Amino acid sequence: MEDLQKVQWRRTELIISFLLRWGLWLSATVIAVGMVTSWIAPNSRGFSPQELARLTQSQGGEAPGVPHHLNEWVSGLVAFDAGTIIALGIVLLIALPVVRVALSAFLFLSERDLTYVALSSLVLGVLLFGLFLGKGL
Amino acid sequence: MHLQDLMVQSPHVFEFLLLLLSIAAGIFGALLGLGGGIVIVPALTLLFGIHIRYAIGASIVAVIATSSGAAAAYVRDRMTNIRVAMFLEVATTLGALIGAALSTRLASRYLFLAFATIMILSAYMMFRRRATEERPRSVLGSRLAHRLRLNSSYPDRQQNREVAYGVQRVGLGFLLMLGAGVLSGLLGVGSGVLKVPAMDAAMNLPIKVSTATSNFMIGVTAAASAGFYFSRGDIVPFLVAPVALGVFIGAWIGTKLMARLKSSRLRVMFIAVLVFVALQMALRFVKGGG
Repeated sequence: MEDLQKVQWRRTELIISFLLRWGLWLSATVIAVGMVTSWIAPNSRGFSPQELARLTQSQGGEAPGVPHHLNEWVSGLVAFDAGTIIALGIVLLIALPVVRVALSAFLFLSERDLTYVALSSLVLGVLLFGLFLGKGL
Repeated sequence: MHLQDLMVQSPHVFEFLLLLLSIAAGIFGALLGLGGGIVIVPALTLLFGIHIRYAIGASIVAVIATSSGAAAAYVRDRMTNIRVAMFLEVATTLGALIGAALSTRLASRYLFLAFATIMILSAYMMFRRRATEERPRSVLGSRLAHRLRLNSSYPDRQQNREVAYGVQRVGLGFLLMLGAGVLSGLLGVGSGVLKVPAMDAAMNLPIKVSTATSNFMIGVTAAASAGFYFSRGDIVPFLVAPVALGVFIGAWIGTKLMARLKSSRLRVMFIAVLVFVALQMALRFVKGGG
């Protein structure tokens, strides 16, 4: 029984490791594609001199180049806009640890480890809360 | 501040310089066991004239990239204590949100002061850890550690056996991680340089396990504040792309070089650089910079 648990746990570790590596490569590739696109395509959103000049001060407001609404995301991706693609890669990168925690929660659930299901759910809650908190402040 | 003008006049050259700098930061980070964060924010603010809030945004994303890469390897090598990580992540993520919220409320000059402090602290930690000999660990865990099933073992390659260890002072570890989380969220760094000694000294985790577990946690901690910064608009694709990719590439190069280079001399050099840059950051605080 002990050995089976060890095998299961080892499998858990390998799944997590695989997810981290795969997700990382995916987001890095997307960001790289976006960056290269910004070199070859002119008029990418958020790359104009006026918007870039803002970065030396703290004027606040939305970040240049990041889509604010869903239709901006869609139109940006369809147009293969560099800023939108990079933003997508960034979102994937930020989502990666979140997905990892969610995956851990499920794995703990499959092992009937309720204490850790609770703990990982708590962490997940904090992570998601942070995402919405930013908009308020 | 000529580089600032370059950003507006020739953004691609600016971006390329950012990329080069980030690759260098990634290489040094991998060789010295630091994240990129501690180098990125000062470089972006002092050298490139970027406002600190966007520098922090770029840095925190880069931190996710580098730590996830290392974390994957450590988990595969069975060094990471996933339960300790999950338990402590409650503290670090809460701390990260507190830190990020604080960061938006404080006047930027105080961020420079905080940064100078953490750099001096990191330099001190690096200085202290010159002789990283693993010492024999107690296998007795505290009662709470037993309840939470934190005690574990790791494969020691040199001794060619499984080494067991008991986890202690769980409550203290939790508090320390809360503090580390606040720093991470506040300044956009990984604060692994503080997490590792905390787990090693306070909680009795072997150094390799502390390093692996810390790396595992850094990504989640960074994601907590990154989500916050993203919705606030501090994460700018133009900056983040070269920085995150550069540090990622640099870290990869750094791990390849690790076998060949003597890190002790580099360490001494880097401690000197840290102190020097810390003073520059403190100067910005005095000047009231943003």
